[in-house]
Formats: sequence, structure tokens, C-alpha cells
Amino acid sequence: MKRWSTQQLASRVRTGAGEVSSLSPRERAGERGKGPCEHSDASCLSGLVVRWINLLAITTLISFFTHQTKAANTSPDRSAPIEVKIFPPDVNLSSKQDKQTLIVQAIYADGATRDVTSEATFDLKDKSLVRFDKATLSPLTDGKTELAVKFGGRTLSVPIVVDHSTVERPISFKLDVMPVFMKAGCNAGACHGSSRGKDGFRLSLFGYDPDGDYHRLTRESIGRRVNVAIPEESLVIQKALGAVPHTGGERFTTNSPLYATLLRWLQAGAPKDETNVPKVVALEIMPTQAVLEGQGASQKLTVRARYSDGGDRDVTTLAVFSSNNELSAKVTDGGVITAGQRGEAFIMARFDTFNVGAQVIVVPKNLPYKWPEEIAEYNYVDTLIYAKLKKLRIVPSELCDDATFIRRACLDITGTLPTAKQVQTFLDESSAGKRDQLIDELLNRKDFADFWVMKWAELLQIRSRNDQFSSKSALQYYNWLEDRLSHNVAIDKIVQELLTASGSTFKNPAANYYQVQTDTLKTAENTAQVFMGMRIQCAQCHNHPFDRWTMNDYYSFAAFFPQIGRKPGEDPRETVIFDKGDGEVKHPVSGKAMPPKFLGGEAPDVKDQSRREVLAKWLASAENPYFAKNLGNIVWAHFMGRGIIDPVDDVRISNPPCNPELLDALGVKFTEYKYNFKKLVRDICTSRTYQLSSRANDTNALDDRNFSRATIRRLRAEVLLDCISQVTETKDKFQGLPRGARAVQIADGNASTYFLTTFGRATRETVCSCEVKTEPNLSQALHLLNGTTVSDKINEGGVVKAMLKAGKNRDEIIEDLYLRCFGRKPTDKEHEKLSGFFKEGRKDDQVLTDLFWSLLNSKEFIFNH
Amino acid sequence: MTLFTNALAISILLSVPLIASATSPRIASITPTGAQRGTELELRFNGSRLDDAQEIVFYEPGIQVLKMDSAKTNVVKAQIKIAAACPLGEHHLRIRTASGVSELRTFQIGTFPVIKEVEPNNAITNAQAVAANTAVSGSIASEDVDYFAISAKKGQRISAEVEGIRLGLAAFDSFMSIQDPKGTVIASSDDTSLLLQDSLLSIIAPEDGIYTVLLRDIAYGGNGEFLYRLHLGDFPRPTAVYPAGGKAGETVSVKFLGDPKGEFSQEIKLPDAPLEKFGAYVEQNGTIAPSPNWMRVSLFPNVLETAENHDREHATPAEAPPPFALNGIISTKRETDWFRFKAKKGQALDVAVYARRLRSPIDSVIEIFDSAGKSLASNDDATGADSYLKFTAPTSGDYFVRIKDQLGGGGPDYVYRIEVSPVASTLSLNIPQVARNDSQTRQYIVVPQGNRFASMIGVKRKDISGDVAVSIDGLPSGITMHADTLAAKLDAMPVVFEASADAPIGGKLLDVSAKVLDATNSPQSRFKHVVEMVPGPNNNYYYNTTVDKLYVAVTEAAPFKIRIVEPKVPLVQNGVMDLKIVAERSAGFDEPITVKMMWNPPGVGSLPDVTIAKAQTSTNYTLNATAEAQIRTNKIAVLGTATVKGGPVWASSQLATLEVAAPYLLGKIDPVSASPGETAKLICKLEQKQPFEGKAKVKLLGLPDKVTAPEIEITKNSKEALFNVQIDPKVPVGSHRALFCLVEIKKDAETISQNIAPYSVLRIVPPKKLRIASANDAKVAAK
Repeated sequence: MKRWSTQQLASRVRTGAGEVSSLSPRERAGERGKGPCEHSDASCLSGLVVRWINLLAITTLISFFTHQTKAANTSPDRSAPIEVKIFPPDVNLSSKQDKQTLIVQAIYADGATRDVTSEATFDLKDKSLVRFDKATLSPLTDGKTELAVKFGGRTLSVPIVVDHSTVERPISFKLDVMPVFMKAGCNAGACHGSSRGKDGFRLSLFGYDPDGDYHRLTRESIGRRVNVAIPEESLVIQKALGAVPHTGGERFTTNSPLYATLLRWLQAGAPKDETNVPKVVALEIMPTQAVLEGQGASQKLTVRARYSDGGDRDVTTLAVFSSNNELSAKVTDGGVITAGQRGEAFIMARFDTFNVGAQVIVVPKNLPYKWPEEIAEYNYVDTLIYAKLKKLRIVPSELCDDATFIRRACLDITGTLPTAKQVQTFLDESSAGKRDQLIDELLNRKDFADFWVMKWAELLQIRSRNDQFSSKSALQYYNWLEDRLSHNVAIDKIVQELLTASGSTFKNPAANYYQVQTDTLKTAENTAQVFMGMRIQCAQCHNHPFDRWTMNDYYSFAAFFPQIGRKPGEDPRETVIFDKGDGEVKHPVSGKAMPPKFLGGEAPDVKDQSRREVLAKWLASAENPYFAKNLGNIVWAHFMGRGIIDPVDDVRISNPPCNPELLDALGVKFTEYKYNFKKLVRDICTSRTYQLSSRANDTNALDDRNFSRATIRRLRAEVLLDCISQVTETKDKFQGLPRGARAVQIADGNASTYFLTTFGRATRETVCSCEVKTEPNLSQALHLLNGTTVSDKINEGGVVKAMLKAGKNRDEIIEDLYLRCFGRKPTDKEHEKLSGFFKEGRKDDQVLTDLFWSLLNSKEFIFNH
Repeated sequence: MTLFTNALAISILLSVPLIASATSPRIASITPTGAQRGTELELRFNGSRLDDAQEIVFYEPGIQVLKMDSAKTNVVKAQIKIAAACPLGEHHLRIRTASGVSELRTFQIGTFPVIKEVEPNNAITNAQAVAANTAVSGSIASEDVDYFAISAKKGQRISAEVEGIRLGLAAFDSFMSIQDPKGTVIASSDDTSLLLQDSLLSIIAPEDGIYTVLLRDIAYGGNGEFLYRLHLGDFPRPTAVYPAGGKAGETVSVKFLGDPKGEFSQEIKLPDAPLEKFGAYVEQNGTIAPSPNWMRVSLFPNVLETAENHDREHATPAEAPPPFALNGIISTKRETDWFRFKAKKGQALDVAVYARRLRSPIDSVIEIFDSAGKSLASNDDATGADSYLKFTAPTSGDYFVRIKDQLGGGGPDYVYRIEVSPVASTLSLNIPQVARNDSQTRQYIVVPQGNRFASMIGVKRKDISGDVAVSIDGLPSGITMHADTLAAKLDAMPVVFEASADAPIGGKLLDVSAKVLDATNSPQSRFKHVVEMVPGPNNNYYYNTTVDKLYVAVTEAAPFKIRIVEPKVPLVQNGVMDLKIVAERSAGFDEPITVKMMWNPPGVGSLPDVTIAKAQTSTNYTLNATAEAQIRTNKIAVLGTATVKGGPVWASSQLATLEVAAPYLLGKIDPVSASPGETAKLICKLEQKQPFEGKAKVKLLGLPDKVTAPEIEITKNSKEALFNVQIDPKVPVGSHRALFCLVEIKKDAETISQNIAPYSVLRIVPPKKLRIASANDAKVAAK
């Protein structure tokens, strides 16, 4: 016997089909078909059987209307683009072997793009300087010229500079050979890049240690891997060609440029690089955006690397390409994207330690689509969201009704349900600005601060751990946070206080930041993850394969934390945090002490300064490009159910924002607001995007990442318990808090209840945003149905009895229960159905209590929609 | 506290499991926890095995027991009279029964009348009204919050001080706040420098009216053991005294700091003898603060800081040569204070900060500079947060000492005292804990009539070395103490106390002293028993208390005695000895007796304990000595314990002699290979070290199963021992690397056992003739 299965629940949430309320008629029939006695739990016997039969019927009443938006038909015009772009916009050829491929992209009024390289006409001003063949330029003589590119009535000019056209660049191990290992996949984790190598030969993973690789190739097993006398016979070549048994099979053939490069190096005597080999300093992928129409449409990419000596190189053939959604867009080894199904994909190119990406949208060809003019833009959020939706040919859902809005806003902003009275007042109010006004009211409630104290407490891992971190420390840390947030202290100030905190963890609870985590490297990792949304853990052992972080970046960032001293305080639970003034972080490969360097920033002067203070000044400031955006994204994800980068703490090149312009805008605004995040929340909540209905229309049914409709979210564990307690008018007792405290106010993450644990409360054991779980499971369903929480609280609170005692009639009580649980009145149909239950000779309080129970067990209650 | 929680509290107290090897009688709680001096009241001791209680032993003077009633085994009631001049503060006590001595407990004496907390007082609306200058005796149940109301006039001082953790009962971490008549919280307190986890509030009433004080556990914890005494009134409550010490016997003019009415000066007469901590109770207008401000009493004069001593140039000079005490306050953040003093070349000085241990908030760091400004020595933490360093002046001249707070803190009560004195040696005595985290078990001497009791006495020598003699003066009549001198290399030794059969039952608090035997001027010695009252995390404690006297008592005769049959032969290095322990049981007593070595001499090992089984009268206690065991004559003793009438009773052996000697001979066996079914010849080459009489038996041990070697005999002239090792055909091949020989030499009808040739090797290899070369072998060979 069950009310809804977890699979059903899960599928509802995943498809987000907008059906929040209850079961479909078919499902209902199925449910009825199963008798209550099929349930194995003994507790279902006796009186509850009768109750459930009634409840089933009641639940079916709780429903929503459906609504669909129709889009008008228009056909796109492909005769004239609004813009034509050429990539790269300038060409520098600086050696005899240098080459540069060109790509021409046309952009149309509706956002669609086309690769028109083959259709464009190219006109070289001085043909004696460069050779132009198949959209590729190669040098002939030194000098400067221009290439005119014509398409769709537009003409563009590409400046070309040719230098050292007769000079053959000497082969370099780091510049030429290392990329071969990357492109051929030799140094991947599953191959020779494994920490123990593969089949007796090891390369550094993704080439983090070129000197080590050179040693292993040429010196580790002399005479085996390279053969400078007969280069073609070198084992490294033989293996790669698959000419001798090779677990990795054939990596390339003899006509591959990779083969040519490797052979050239061997023929040159497998030389070691001089110490001043230029380093890659930047990587560009071009174009960075494409909107492809129809299956089979293609777009070529070009990748250019910039070096520390000022030069650049077309590395398209050496870059490793990958797509995060092969169904929508595939990419070849040579960097050609082919459109597949409708959708979005991110194409990543990796070269050296750099990763870059391009966003590709695939829409059906000749899709009838028109943006409804009546859709208003409330603020910049809507402008940027709509821009993306237009590219995707999606029309956002309609606005949600007032009842849905007040419930949604209350739950999101304060973690509480609106009272029956508040709902009624809001529905009766007729002023145009009432939604904005409600948001302002909610933002000024202490509950708002409490909610964010909880979220920060999760990020800061406020949780007692046996003898290492006392519950008193946890309580004080939490109280400190609560004090700061409830006084609306700007987030940058709070972060700076945390990072620079010194002294006793009892007297200055912010110092617990260094007591929760005492390991230097982990402190650095957590700092990056919490405040910048970056997981740099990979770079501890090797250059990050899907991001830009190298081991140097990792250890240089960690170098801000080795000088933290800790000594016991007076109380055995207390620790005194101070700056020791010495201590270094050493790079495990070179063994050198790493100078502190901001992640993605410069290396500051830390002489005679507290390194933490130097870091804090940069980290929580506009100079740090990630700080404001990351916090903006965390706030966005809370209100929209999904981050612009998702998960919010996994910012990396290969996990790009779905709407980078919006993410930038949130960051800019947050900085403008001086990190007062109430203002940011206001921007988000007053946008039309936040106020959309969760019901899908024809165009956005499949969209789950562009915010074209509201996301249906299960209430998180604490909020759900608080809401149950709120509507049943009962109090909870949590360890370390007085009776009546709300679950969102739990100071010590170690204090939990069965209910909270079952519903996926964050354990605060890590900084990961994945700790909060809202996925449904069987225990949750069973606990709501059979467990003590709901049933006991209904009895304990005695809400129904009190209303009966106060002389309210049936309909008034039903209305009150609907309002307090759902924030809306029952429909006429629901009223009508319910009245049937009173006719069977059962007592009013019994039926009404059962109704209350079923409301609390309905999806409409458990979800924010 | 409600009736229910009261009952619960008691049941919790009683259900606390006994600590390992508990003392015979046990006090679980004392009600009330404190009293007003000059009054008479009934004290109720709850506990166990209290039915033969005879005496309440108070460590401090001033409390007189008028009547005692111990009809029940778990309750003792005593009518006590507290003298009007009874010393204030913590009093230490034990209960002595006819058969034993309880653990140490504390009882508080104050100046305020005591009232009981009355529940319900869980809300501001039902706050319990309290007259000014009253001590409320209450408890915090789970989630409990207690409110008290006190009326005050504008400008009047309102002070509230909790004694919670300092009662030494539970980890009650109090939180206190005070609301004005309008209900606004005007002050709150969690931990304090002066009172540890106990909270303290002292404010000036901003208006006339009723003020409400809230008291709870910081984390809304609580149970029946969270007892408190809340002192409420208009008493003075300074948080510091300056200077925090002075010369013994002198009257010092001090300033009390941190009181809301501002600082004020008073004269304090210091005790005549030096004291680590002297509690100065401040009195104003006839009202005395409930707890003291702490001062140090030394033998030398004070130097007080001058106003501008924040750099070297303005250092406060100490005109006289050391010893002296430098006093000051780090009154603002990041302040540094400097002092200048003269020292002679080669003069060794102790530079010790007394601050945190006198409850100052400062976390001191000191540094010594020479006259050129060169840093010579520095220290942060040595005694807790207090700094200490030993400094030897490289040349005669001026030196500077700088002090600051490690975290750059500062404030009006950041009082410090730096004692600079010629290095003085000391001897610290204690009874080492018999178990981890157990500061109570057998921290006293309890000798049954006609029996013996043994205890270890530990001696820590600072800046002195040599043999030490320990003595206890004024032992109860009939008790004799047997102790060796404590050798220079050792820091603890067993001491045996013996009571004659007619020694009167009773007890005494005594001084324990020690003397360095060869020193012309033996340093001061001091006995200390640190009682860890409230355990905390990581083997730490929240609150401890210290007494400096040892309690020695004679109890009723025990039903058993034990003795060591003193060995006539030595335990040799690498040797083993079975020490025979004999019990004499009274008729009808046949309980098992657990016997434990009081200590193992250096390099000697033994099991933690052995048992003389039920109704048996002897057992063997096996001792072994390593090759590095110190060659010396040791005094040893064993302590026996058995359960008598539900509790443990102890009796020790005599102080017996155990000689650790050099071995008689050494041996070496070269590795031997043999195959199953063969007889291997295994030769142990002997190196005779000292001659022995007659023949010695040699056994080859550590052999695998089904491999045997007959025992052989050697004499003092034997050069080797030859074993014919029989290897059964079924013995699997393998290498055995733990063979050794046991040599047993007879002397004076006793056996000296000694192991030689350790880790010798016997390899059992496959029979050669059966071996067939395989292809695999060829491969191996080729490699």
C-alpha cells in the first residue's frame, strides 16, 4: 500500500512535467487496485486501513489545471547575415613551417550561425608573401599584407604579418613532442599517464612533468625507447604505430603529422630542450559560439596558442577535442563540429595545460518560432535569460498565479510557509507591485538570515567531531555567523574576517575556519571550492585534465596557508590560531618552496605580511574574477533550483555556465551592491523568470537548464520538517538548542534527527554542495506515511480539534487546512469530493484529521513549485 | 529543580559506574554543595560502602563535625558547624570508614546565606526573586533555563557569579545574561579569564527596578549533575589585582581592577610563607566577593612598571640585583613592556611569568635582550600560557626583558608578574597515577591493622640530581614506613607502610618531604596531589584542584596478607625468574587475590598482574630481564587486592630485594640446514662469563612441531653445547628463526634461568636425493 512510489516521484521531478499535485488517473486506478492488506507492515492493519482508503480518495482531489502556450509560425531568412566573422581576426606567421587555418562564420538575425568558409571568397592582396590553399595560409616571404574575405554582401579584412619565413624552427621536446603524447592519448590516466605507468612505461599525467617524461623516454631504460641511430625503429614509434604489440593499439599512422613530429625529434638526436623554451600563456578557440540549424550542419573550429615569447601557433591539429553532449554535437579530431539532435553542447579543446571551450546550440531547421511580444522584461535577469531562450527557440512559461508565488517566495526566502491569513491578504491585495512588496517584506525577516546562516554553516562545515571540534565551538562559530548575517554584514567582509581570523577559537569564533580543517592543502582546496566554486583537488597530483589548473597553481595557492600556527587554548576544547611567520609549501616534483600566487591571478608580495591577509584582500574583492560570480551563482541556484554553473562548486572550463552573460551580470551587480546579497536576492526574485509557472509549454518541455519555467524542487530536509511543525503547530527539540527552535537553526551539523537524515540533510562533513540531497527514496516515503513525524505531530498539535472547539464549520476547516498547507483554497471540485466523506457516518474530526494527514503527504506540500 | 528531576538526578548519580579499582567507600555527591560560614547545617553524603563511616577528614581548618550518622550504606549525614572565621572558598575532604578511605571531594564556604533554587523559574515571568547577596544552590536539568530576579536602584552595582565547573562535579559550561527592567539584555557572559567556564556579570544598574538574571548551559545541556551556586548581589567583583603578588609576610598595597565601579586600592597582608597561589578576597562596605583574585607570594620584592616602559629606551629599571618580581599590565592592544636589570657574568636566572595561572587573560611572550639590543632568549608557552626561560648572563651588565601578548591583545586586567631569580632547584613529590585519567585511586595510604600497604612515590628533580631520601613525619602510631633511597637515575620507587596489629584505627594528614642525600643544601621539597575533578576531551580536564598533604590511615584488619618469597639468586640479563608470592588467608576467606608489581625495575618486565586463585595460597609472578636491564639491586613490592564486603581491600608484600645481574654465559648458534627425517647437529658455541657450580641444564627452545632436541648438561668449562635435533620425516620445509637456548643453573636450591643464542636459525630444506630438476629451475638458473 503506498500513496506514490518513489520512482513516480522521481520521474515527476526529473521530467518536471508541471504536474505537482497527485497521481494520473491511470496511476490512481492502479493504486486502488492494490488492497491495503498487500502492505507488509503490520502497522497498516486495523484502523489505518480504513483511513488510507479515504485518504487515497482525498488525495486524488488535489490537482492543478494545465495550460499550454502556443507559438506562432515564422520562417527564417538565410539570404543575408546580420554579421560575418572571420577567425582568427589576424594572422602572424613566424617560421617556415608555420600555418594558419581560417574560418568564416555568418550570424543571422534569429541568432543562427553557419560555417561559410567554403562559400566565402578570399582575395589576397600580395600573393608573393603567403600561399593560400584550402583556407590555410602558409609563408613565402617576410612582409605584411591583407586578406579580403567576402560573404553575403559583407567584406572583412584580415591583416597578415610574415616573419622569419625561411627560418626552420628547431624541433623542441616541450613544444612539439609533448603535444603529440597528449593528442595521441599516450599520457592519459588510463594509459601511460597512470601513476604507475602502463606496461612498464610511465609518462606524467597530461604532461605535468615534461622533464621527467624526457628522462623516462631517453634515460630510464637506455637503448630501449628511443633509437637515435635508426629513429624509425624506436620503440616509442613502433608502439604508437601498432607495429609491435601495444596494449593501446595504433595511435597514429605514418602519414600523420604526429608521426612526422616524433620522427623529426628522433632524427635530430632526441635533443633535450634548452631552459628558455617559451611557455604557452594562453589558448583561444574560435568561434566560441555557434547556433547550428538542422542535423548535419557543421562548424569548423580553430585553436591558437600564444607563447611567452609573444609568438602564436595554430594548434588545431594538436588540440584534443571533446564534446559534453555527443547527441547534439560531435567533434572530430580535427575540430569539426557536426550537429545532431536539438540541444546544447560544449566543445572543449585541450592543449598543453590549457582548456578552452565553445558553446554550440543545435536547433531544428525551419522550426516555426516566434517570440511572443507580450512577454515583459522585469529586469536585466530577464533580458539575458530571454536572449538565450530566443537562440534556443524556446518560449518561457506563463507567470505563476499569486497563490503559487507567495508559497514559493516564502519557502525560498524564509524557509517557512505563509500562514492562511497571509495568503488570504496577499490574494485579496490588488496593487500591481504587491509581489515586489512581498519580497521586500520577506527579505527583512530574521528567517531569511537564518536560512543563509544554515547554508553558510554547511559550506563552513560547522559540525562537532568527537574530541577534535567541540559542540561548543560549533555553537559559537554558528552564532558568530548568525550575528554577521543577521546584521547584514557584506559577504566580502565576512569572508575576510574568516580568512584572517586569529586568536582563541572561543573568543574569536571565526578562527574556527582553521580548526574545522587543519591540513594546509585541504584548507586551500576548501577555500577555493567554497569561495571560488573551484575544485582544485586534481591539481594536487597532476595538471587538471578538464580545467586550467596546474600543479604550480595548486601549490602556489596552498602557499597562502602553511604559516598558520595552532596551540591549545585554556579550555581543552579551545585552540589559539596565529601566524607563525614561517612555513612553506613545497612542490612535490621540484621540491621547491612555492611562492604564494592567487588562483588565476598574480603572485603578490607577501614579505613581512600575513599571507592570509594578503589572500583575503584579493579573494573577497572585485579583483578576484571568480568571487562575486561564484556567490551570485550560489544565490541563483538556491532560488532557481539549479546553478548557472551546476553544480555551483564545480566551476571549470569543461563545466561551462549555461548563460555566461547572466553569470557575469550577477557578478557585476553583486560587486556594485558591495556584496550585500539581499539586493542580489531581490534582483533574482523580482525577475519575471523567477515568477514563471512550473508548467511546461510546447517549446520548453525538454528544457531543464535555461530557466524557461520554474523548477519543481522538493523542500530540503530542514525546511520540510519546519513546515510540518509550522502547519501542525508543534515544536521540535534539537540537540544543543532550546525546544521550539527550527531545524534550519541547527548550529552543530552533528546534531540531526531521523527525519532530517532520511530527507538528506547535509552532514557538513565536506564543503561539497552535493551534501544536501533532495532525491526521493523509499525511506522518505515510508517515513511520511508510517513514521512518527507526520502522524504524531498532527495529534500533538491538535490543530483540527482546536478549530472544531473554536466553532469552525467543516468548510472553514477544510479551507484553513488547504491554505496552511498549500497556500491556496480548495477547488470547488475538491470541496465537492470531500463532502462525500462526511456522509459515511464518520466523525468530522476523524475525516478532517485524515484530510490533514493526506495534505501533508501530498506532493503539493512536499515540493516547492 | 522539580521533584522528578531531583529523583532523576539522584538515580543518575548512583548509577555512575565505579571507576576501575575504586576506593573502598565512595562519595557520589554532597548536599548542599556549599554553605555560609558561621552557620550550622546538615551535610548529606550520598555514595556507597559508607556504613562504617567514622570521620570526615577536612584538609582545611574551620569546619567541625558535631554529629555523624551513617546508618545506611549509601548515605552519611553529618551535622557540621562552620566557624565564623573559617577560610573562604574551596575545602577538601574525604570520608574515612573503619575499612577504608574515600576519594577527595570539595565543599564551598562563602559569606552569603544559601537558598535553594525553586522551580518553576524557567521564564522571565516566573523568575525566582532573590535578596541581594545570596547564594542560590540550584541545578540545571536538560534544556533547563533558570531565571532569578533581583531589585536594584539606579547606580547600584549588580553582580552575579556562578560556581559551576568549580564545584568539580560536571562539565557544566554556564551562560548567564542579565535583563534590565524593560526586558532588554544588557550584559551576558560565557567563559571568563578569572573563573574559567564559570560566568560572571557585574554592572551598574542604569535605573531603578527589577533585573532578571538568566542562567543556563551554553549548549542547552544539563542533567542532575549540573549543580551550581549562583551568587547574586551588589558585591564587588574586580577581575584582576595589581600587583599580582608580593613578598611573603608583607602588606602590599594593591589595586583591584575591572570592577564596574572602577578600580580601587586596598592593603593586602600576604601569608608568611611563599605560595603558588594566594586567594585575595576583596571586601567593600562589608560585602566580600564570593571568590578571590589570585596573587603569588614569593620571597623577594616587587618592581612595578613605570608609565612609559613600552620600548627599550624607557625600560623600567630593577635597581637591586635578582631576585625580584617585575609587575605590570599590558593595558592596550599590541603594547610591549620593557624592564632593565643587572646580571653578573655566568649568573643563571629563572625568568618565570605568573599571569595565566593567576587567571590573567594575557598569553605572555617574553624575550631577553642584551644592552646592545641583541635578542638572547625567548619563550611563549611553558606553564600553560605562562612563559618561562632559564637565562645565563654571558657578561656582566645590563639586560632587558620584554613582555607582550602573543596575539597582540591587551586590556586593563592583562596583569602579569615576571619573577627573575637565581636558578633554584626543587624536588616535587607525588603519588604517580595508578591508571590513566585516574587521579583519585590510591592517592592516599591505607594500611590494615597488622598488615602492609605499598605506594609508589614519585620525585621530580629540577636543577639538581642525586640520590633522594623520602620521609613522612608524624606517621600514626603503629605505622612504620619502609623505603629505599631513590637512586639518581630513577624518578619513582615503592614505599611500604606496615601497621602493627594493635595500631589504633584512625588517620592523619601528613607532609611528605624529600632530601637529596649528597647535597650540602638540599632544596625545598613539596608534595602535590592534583585531583582532576572534571574530565574534558583528549585526556584533558576542565577543572582540577590541588592538595599538598598525604592522608595516611590505619583501617580494620584485612582477611589476607601477602608476601614475596625473596629470591636468593639474581635475575640475570636475558633471564627469567618466577617470583613466588604467598598469601596468608584468614579462616573462611577464599576470594581470589589479584597481585600487581608496584613497579618494574629498569629493563625488567612482567605481566600487569597475576592472580592467586580462589582458595589458593600462592602463585608465581614471572619476571624477565632484557639484555640491557640495569645491573643493580632493586627494592620491589607487590600489592594484592581482593574484594571484601563488596569493595576492594589492599595489602602489600614486604619490600623485597631483587638483584639484576650480568649473565653467566653467552651463546651463539650458526644457522643449520637439514631435511625432514634427518638428525641435525646444532652447536651452540658458549662464552662463559662467570663460573657456576655443578652442572647446568640447556634446553633448545623455539623448535617447530615434530622437531625435538634432548636437553643436555654443561659445566663451567664447556665450550659448546651440542644438540642432536631429530626432524620427523613429516615436518614441512621452512625456515625457523626463533630458536634459542634456555640455561638453568642451580644455586642455593633455586634456579637461575637464562636465555642465550637468541634468534638462531634452523632451515628445513627438501631432501636432496628426491629433488628433480624442472624446467623452471633452468629458467631461474639462467636468470
